[in-house]
Amino acid sequence: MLYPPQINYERPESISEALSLLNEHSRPFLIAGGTIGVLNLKRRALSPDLVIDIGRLKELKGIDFRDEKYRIGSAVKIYEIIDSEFNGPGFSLLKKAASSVGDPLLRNMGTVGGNVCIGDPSNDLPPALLALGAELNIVGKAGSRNLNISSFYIGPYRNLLAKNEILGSINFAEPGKGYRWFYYKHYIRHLDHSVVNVAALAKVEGKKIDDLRIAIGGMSVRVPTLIETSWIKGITAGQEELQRVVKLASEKCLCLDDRHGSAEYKKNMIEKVTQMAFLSVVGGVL
Amino acid sequence: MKIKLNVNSEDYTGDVEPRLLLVDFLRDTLGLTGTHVGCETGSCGSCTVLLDGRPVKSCLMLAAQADGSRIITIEGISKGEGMNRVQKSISESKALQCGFCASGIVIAATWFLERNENPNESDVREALSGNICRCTGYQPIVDAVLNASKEVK
Amino acid sequence: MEYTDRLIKGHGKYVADITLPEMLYMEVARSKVARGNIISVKGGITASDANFYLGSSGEGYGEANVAVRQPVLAEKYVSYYGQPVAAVYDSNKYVARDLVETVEIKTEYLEPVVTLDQALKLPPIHPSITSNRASEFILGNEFTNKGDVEVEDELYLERVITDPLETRGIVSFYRDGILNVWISTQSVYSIRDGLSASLGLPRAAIRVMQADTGGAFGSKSAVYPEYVIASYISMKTGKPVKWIESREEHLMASRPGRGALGKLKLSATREGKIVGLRGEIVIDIGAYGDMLGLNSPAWIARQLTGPYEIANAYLKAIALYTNKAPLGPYRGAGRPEASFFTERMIDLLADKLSIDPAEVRLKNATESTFRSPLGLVVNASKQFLENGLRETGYWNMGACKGVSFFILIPAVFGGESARISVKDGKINVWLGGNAHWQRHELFVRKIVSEVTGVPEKYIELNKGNTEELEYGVGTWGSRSAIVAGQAVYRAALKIKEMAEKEGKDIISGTYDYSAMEDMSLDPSMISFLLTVTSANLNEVGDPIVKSCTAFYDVGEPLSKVSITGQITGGLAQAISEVLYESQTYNKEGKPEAQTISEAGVPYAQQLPRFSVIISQGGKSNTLHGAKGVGEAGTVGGLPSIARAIENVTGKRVRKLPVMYSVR
Ligand SMILES: Cc1cc2nc3c(=O)[nH]c(=O)nc-3n(C[C@H](O)[C@H](O)[C@H](O)COP(=O)(O)OP(=O)(O)OC[C@H]3O[C@@H](n4cnc5c(N)ncnc54)[C@H](O)[C@@H]3O)c2cc1C
Ligand code: FES
Ligand code: FES
Repeated sequence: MLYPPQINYERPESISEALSLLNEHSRPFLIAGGTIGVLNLKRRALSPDLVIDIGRLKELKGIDFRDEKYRIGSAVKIYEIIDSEFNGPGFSLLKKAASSVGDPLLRNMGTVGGNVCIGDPSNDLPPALLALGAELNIVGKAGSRNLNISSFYIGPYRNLLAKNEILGSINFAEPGKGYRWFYYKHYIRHLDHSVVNVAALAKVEGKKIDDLRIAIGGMSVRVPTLIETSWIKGITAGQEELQRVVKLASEKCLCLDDRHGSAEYKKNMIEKVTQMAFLSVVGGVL
Repeated sequence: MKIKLNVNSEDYTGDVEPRLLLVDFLRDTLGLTGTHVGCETGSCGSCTVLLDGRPVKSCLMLAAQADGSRIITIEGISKGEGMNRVQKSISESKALQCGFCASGIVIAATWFLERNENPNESDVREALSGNICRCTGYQPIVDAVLNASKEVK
Repeated sequence: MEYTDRLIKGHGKYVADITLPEMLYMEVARSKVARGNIISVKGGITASDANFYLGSSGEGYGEANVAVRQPVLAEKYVSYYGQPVAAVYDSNKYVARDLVETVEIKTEYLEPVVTLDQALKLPPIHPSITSNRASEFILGNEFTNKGDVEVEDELYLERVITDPLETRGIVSFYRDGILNVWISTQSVYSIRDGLSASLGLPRAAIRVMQADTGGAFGSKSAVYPEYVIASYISMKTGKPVKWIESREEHLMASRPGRGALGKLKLSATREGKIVGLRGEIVIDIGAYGDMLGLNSPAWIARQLTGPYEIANAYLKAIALYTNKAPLGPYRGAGRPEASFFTERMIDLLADKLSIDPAEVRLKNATESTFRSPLGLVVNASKQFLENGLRETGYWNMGACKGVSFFILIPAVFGGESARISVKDGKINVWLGGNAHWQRHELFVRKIVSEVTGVPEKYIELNKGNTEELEYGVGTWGSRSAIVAGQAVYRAALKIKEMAEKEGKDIISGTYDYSAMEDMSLDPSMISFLLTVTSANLNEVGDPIVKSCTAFYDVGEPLSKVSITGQITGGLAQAISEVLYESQTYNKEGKPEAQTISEAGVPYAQQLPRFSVIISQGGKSNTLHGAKGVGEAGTVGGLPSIARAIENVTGKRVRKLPVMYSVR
C-alpha cells in the first residue's frame, strides 16, 4: 500500500514563519490542500526534511474585489471560487474552469494556489488565468514580486517559483462588460489527465474584435500557453481569421503519441476546441 | 505530534505520527473501518468522510491536516441506530452488490441532497462523479438517491 | 442485520478490516523491469528462503501439464513488470512500506517480448520451453465451400484490469498446525487447494474463511504468489500476517483479462446465409499460464458459432507467452471475446451485402437444436431474436445503432455444493460457490423458502468457509444461479424429506445436509442475449453511447433486483471497454495505467441510462429453471456498442478500446 515516508510536519501561523521554515530547511515541501502533495509523498516521489502546511494561513485566504481587480488568496479552495457571488465575465470564466477540476470532493480539498503551482499541463485553472492575464504575487524572505502567469511555466511540472518562495495571491482585473467567455475541457477518461482545455475571452465592438485571448492546456501541449492574438485587434473577424487562430493553436501542439491519443488526434482536438472557443466568444460576427 | 479532533461528535486528543493518513487514523487508530480504501490516489471516493461539513477523500490527507476539525464518517452519518434517507432508499431498493463503494457514496449523496432540493438524474450523476462503483453500473444507486431526494427530510 | 443494511451503515467486515493481536504486515518488492536475469537481491525474504511454486487452482482448474510453473518469488529471472521478487514485514504497516523501499534488486537486461508479433518471432521467454506457443488447438474441420462472398478481418481486444473496488487481500495465521486464512475471494476452495499445492500442506491443515468481498470479476478466483508468501511468513513467525494489495500493484501484477486477437473469415451466400467460418484465435496469456489461460483460445473458438447455424467451421487457436502479468478471467472470461469476434464479422458481412445486420442474424439464427461443427449445442434461437428485435424497438431506431445477438454459456463444469443446517429455529445455508454478494442471499432464500415452506426471514446465507462445508467449487462464469441454486434446491428437498419422515415441522427440528450436485452443460442452460445500442457524437466529435437496451433470457428469474443490477454493471463495463478502458504496456513492457482512473474505469456521469428487459426464453433443465446471468451485460454489450460507435463515426471498429485505436 502507499504510505508517506517519515516526515516532519509544521503548520506555521504566518507567512513570515512559513518563509523562515522554508529557509531553514534544505528540502522543504509545501502543501496547501495536499491533494497532489500528499499523493506524491505516498508514491515516495519526494523525501522532504520538512512538510510545511500552509493550507490554513489566514493571509492566504479570501477572495476580494478592489479597484476593479480580484485578489484570490492562494489557499482559497477550489469550491470557494465556485460558491463565490462574483459573476462578471472574467470571474465566470474562472468559475467554469474551477468546476471542471476533478470532482466535487477534490474541489473541497484542493486550493487555487496548488492548482497553479503544480504545473501539470492539464490543470484547469491555468488556461483560464492565462486568458485573464493574471498576475501572481510571489512572496519570499526579501519581499514580494509580481509575475504574469504567462511567464510562470518553464516546462511540465516546472515553474519560476524559487525553493524558498510562496505563491501568495492571484490577481486579475475583471475584463468587465461586453466580454464573452468560454471554457471547455476534453478528456477521455474521467479523473485522468485531460486531452485539451481551452479558455477564451473576447470583446467585440460593432463588428470589430477589440480584444481576444485564447489559452490552451491539456496533455496536447507542453505547458499551458496563450495563443498570440494581438494582431486581430480592430479586425472584422471572418473565416480567414478563424482559420488563422486555429492554426496558431495547433502549432502549440506537443505532437506525441501516448495514452491520451495520437499526435494527429491531439492536433485535431486542439483545432476543434479552439474553433468552438472562437465561435463562442466572437460569436455573431461570423 | 498532538492532534485534537471531533469524530462523529466525540472528542479525540492523541499523538500521531505526522505521516499518518487521515483514513488510517480513522480506520486503525479509531477502529472506524466503515471508511474504505479503494484506490489510494483520490480516484474512487471509497474513503469519503465529511470534514467540517464537506465531503473529502481521506486517503489524500494527513491526519495532521485535519487537526482541529470536525469529522463525520459513515458510522456517524445517521444519528443513533437508524439510517438516513439515502441509506434507507438504498436499503429498500437493494441497490448494492458488493457494497464496498457504499460508505463513500452515502456520504457524498447525503451532502449533495442537503444542498439540492430537487435534483434531476444528471445532477445526481455529477454529484457522484468522484465515487466509483464497479459492480452496478451506477443506475440502481442513482435511482435510489433520486428516490431519497423525493422523501421529506 | 440485512446484508445491504450492514454495508450501508459501514459495518461490513472486509479483509482489510480484520485485525488480530501481534499482526504483521507484509509488503512485496517487485520487479521494475519486464524481463531480466536476476544478478542479486538484497533484503527481505527471497526465493532462496521461500522456494515455492504456484499450485494451479481456481476457475477452469484441472490437472495441468504446465511446462512453466511460476515461482512464488522470482528465482533466476523476472518475466513481468511487477513480479514478486522479495517480501518484507513489520508490525507497523508504514514501516513495512519503508522496508520494501530498501530492497535492492539488480537485474541484467533482456529484451522483453511485449506484443503477439514479438512472441511469435522472438526466442522463448523461459529457458525450459522451445517456443512462446503455450498451447495450440485445432477445432472443426477443413472445408471447401466458399459461398458467394467472403469477408475477412483482424479484431483485437486490449488487456483490461479487473479492478474490483476492493483490491486483493489476505490474513494468514498458522497456529497449532492449522493454517487459518481470511480472504477476499470467489472461492475458498480454490484458495485452500492452491495453498495446499503450493506449500505442500495437506488440505485438512488449511481453513479458509471468506471475508466480505468487495467485488472480484475473475481476479479473485485463484491463488496468487502473495497468498503463499504471507502464509509462509506466518508459518515462520507464528504470527498472523496481513497483506493488502495496493491499487498500483493491482494494475501491474494482478491477473488482467482479454488480450485476444481474432483473424477471421466468413463465407456466405448472396442472401446472407453463412456457410462457413475459418480463422485463428491468438491469446496473450502473459508470462505464466494456468489451465484457464492455456485453454482460453480453444474455449473462445468453441463458442464462435454462437446462436447461429453455421455448417462449417475450422479454427486454429493458440496461446502465446509474453513478458506481461499472467492473464486471468475477467467479467465474461472468453465469452465477450467470442461474442465480439463473431458479431463484428456478421456486421461486416451485412455491410458487404448491404443487408440490415439484424436481417443477417435472423437469416442465420438456429431454428431448432443445432450441433455446431465446433461441438457446441444450442437450442432454437430465432424466435427469441424476433421477439427481442420487436421488444427493444430496434426496427424503429435511427441509423446510429448497433445490434448484437449472442449466447451466454454458464460454467457449470464441476458442479457445486451447498449445505443447509436447521437449528434453534433458524436455517443456515453455505454455498460452495461463495457469494461475493451478487446478492446470492436473495435467490438462496427464495429457493429454500419455496421448497421448505419456511418464511425467508428465518433463512440466512453465510459466507464461504471450508470448515462448515468441506468441498465446493467457486463463483464465476455466470454459474451460481444454476449450479449453486440446484445444490441448494437439492439440499432443501432433502431437509424437507427428513422432517416429513419424522413428522415434524421443519423449523422446529434439527437437520443438517450437504449436497454435492454434479452437472453437465445442457443447451437449455445457455441464455440468449440481444443488445441494442444507439450512439452519438459529443461536441468535439468523439463517440458516446446514448442508450443501451438489453433483452436477456434468464430462464426462471430468481431475483429481479440482483439480475438487473448485474446486467447494468456489465453494460457499463462494456461501454468503457469499447471506448477507453484498458491496460497498455510500453515498449519495455511496463504497464502504463497507474491509477484506477487511468485504467479507464467508468464513472456515473459518463454513462447513459440502461434499459433491461428480462425475458424468459424458457426454463433451464434444472430443479429451479434458472439460467446464468452474471456476465451477460459484458458478453452482450461489447459488439452492439462497437457497432453503434462504428455507425456514428463511420470508421470500422476492429480494436478495443476505440479511443486507443486513434493511436
Ligand atoms: C484524482 C485527481 C484528479 C485531479 N483532477 C484534476 C483536474 O481535473 N483538474 C485540475 O486542475 N487538477 C486536478 N487534480 C490536481 C489537484 O487536485 C488540483 O489541482 C488541486 O487544486 C491542487 O491543489 P492542492 O492545494 O491540493 O495542492 P497541493 O497538493 O497542496 O500542492 C500541489 C503543489 O503545489 C505546491 N504549492 C501549493 N500551494 C503553494 C503555494 N501557495 N506556493 C507555492 N507552492 C505551492 C506544493 O508544494 C505542491 O508541489 C487532480 C488530482 C487528483 C488526485
Ligand atoms: S481510496 Fe481515497 S479516493 Fe480511492
Ligand atoms: S456495489 Fe460493488 S463497488 Fe459498488
